[in-house]
Amino acid sequence: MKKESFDLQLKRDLLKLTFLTLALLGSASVFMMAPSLSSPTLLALVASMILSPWVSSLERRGNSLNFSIFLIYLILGAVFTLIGIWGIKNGMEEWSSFKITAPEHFYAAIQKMRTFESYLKQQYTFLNSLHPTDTLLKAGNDTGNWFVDNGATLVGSILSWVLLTPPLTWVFLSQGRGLQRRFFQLVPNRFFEQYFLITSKILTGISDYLRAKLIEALLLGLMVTGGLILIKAPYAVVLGILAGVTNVIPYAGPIFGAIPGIFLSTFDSHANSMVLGVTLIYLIANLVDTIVIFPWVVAKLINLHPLLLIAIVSIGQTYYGLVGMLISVPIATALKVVIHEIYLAIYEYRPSRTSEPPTLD
Amino acid sequence: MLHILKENILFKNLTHRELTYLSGLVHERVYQPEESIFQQHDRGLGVYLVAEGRVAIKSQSSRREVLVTVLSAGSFFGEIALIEEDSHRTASALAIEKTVLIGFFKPDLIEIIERKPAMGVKILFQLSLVLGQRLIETTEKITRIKADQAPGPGEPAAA
Repeated sequence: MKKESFDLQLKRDLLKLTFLTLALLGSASVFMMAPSLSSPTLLALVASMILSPWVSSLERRGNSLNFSIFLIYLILGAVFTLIGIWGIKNGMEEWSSFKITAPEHFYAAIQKMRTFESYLKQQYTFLNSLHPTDTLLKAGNDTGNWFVDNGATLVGSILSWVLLTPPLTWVFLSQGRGLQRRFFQLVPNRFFEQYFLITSKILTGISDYLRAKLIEALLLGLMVTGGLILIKAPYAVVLGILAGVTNVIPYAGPIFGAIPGIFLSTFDSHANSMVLGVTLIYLIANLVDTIVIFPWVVAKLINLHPLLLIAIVSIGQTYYGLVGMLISVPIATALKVVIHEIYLAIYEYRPSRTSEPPTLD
Repeated sequence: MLHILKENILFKNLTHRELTYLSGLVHERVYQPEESIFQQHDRGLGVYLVAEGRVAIKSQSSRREVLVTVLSAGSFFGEIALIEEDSHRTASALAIEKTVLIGFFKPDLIEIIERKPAMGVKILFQLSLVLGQRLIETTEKITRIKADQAPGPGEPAAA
């Protein structure tokens, strides 16, 4: 190739690369600056990754793409309505009972904490300068005030999520491929195949992980709800849902999920005898999750060493808190794909199998 | 783009509806004169259909670079990468003039197989026909070379 021609192509590719970087940075900054739009978009992206295989499965049966998405929405709508009716009925009963017993729980909890605090201070005088019960009360008070001040905004945000996420999910499911193709047009020719390969692998890895986590959360939620119903513990449904939802956070999630149940059974004077039972239910559910569900459903898909996973989740927590813990594993999955491809490009260089003429004898 | 896809042997059995679906999956790329499409030993992901222009296929042996063939509109190259695992390009491809290519890659084929298996089977069947034809041609070439190298009646065998 002539040198001028090579220089011209390099300039053209560099220009394309600059434009691609600017487009990526621009999209990222719009995303960061408009949380009211970015949160439902991110949620829709996650939902479309989870729903995509079900849409494919309906398409395989001869349905058109839009009809398949419509069917999924119809099924999900029906399921959510049924769960909603059942949940509201049970949730209202549990909420009414909670409203009556909450002050009792609260005072009993404070009383127990104060007694325990004074006992500790009598035993260890160096603890006299600490006031954990008052600190906890202040934190509770501050949190309550925050909800009073920001409640309307929070409800507004949740409503905008509920309204925007379903149509955005529909757009991603029906036009995601086209949007992706338009984006690929910005990639210089010389990087196009590698870029396409890496993007496909990352998207497959992340959507597999999300689906696996969803199944894991569902199974854990069912186990906790079932267990708590079996021992006749209060708020079984709400606590089961909470255990399932918090389980999405790797490693720390199961602890977050167990705290409310153990806390309630510890300080509820009626459920006092259940502390051991409730703790056992959480322990068994999490053991089944750790020994059976996680290795069989999740770990197989992400294929990252457990120690590396713990390190990744810790780094995510250090820099971005709860959100960091949630997004750390998908980001690590993406990084793993990129590093693996770079490794292959550098170390697995394979001379052509046809570079030497074959021996014909 | 539909007529280019329809005229290609890989997609000639697809219905109009299937071709429309396919046109939403493939990638149109424009190459300038002397621009490299891919290099020998690069990781390969799929097949390229020549929509406009001409493409030179070159192979680098240990001694020199060989021009294998020049492809024009209607031809295609790189189809082995569609089915081979962890495929690497066996030759380099270079645009001779301003060239428009249509790229059809392994993730696209997998998506078709997952979403529309009947369409996937049609493409795979045509692909196997092409690969079978290539195998027959290669076998014939090898046979010819061996026949040329073999000593004639009464000639001593080569050392």
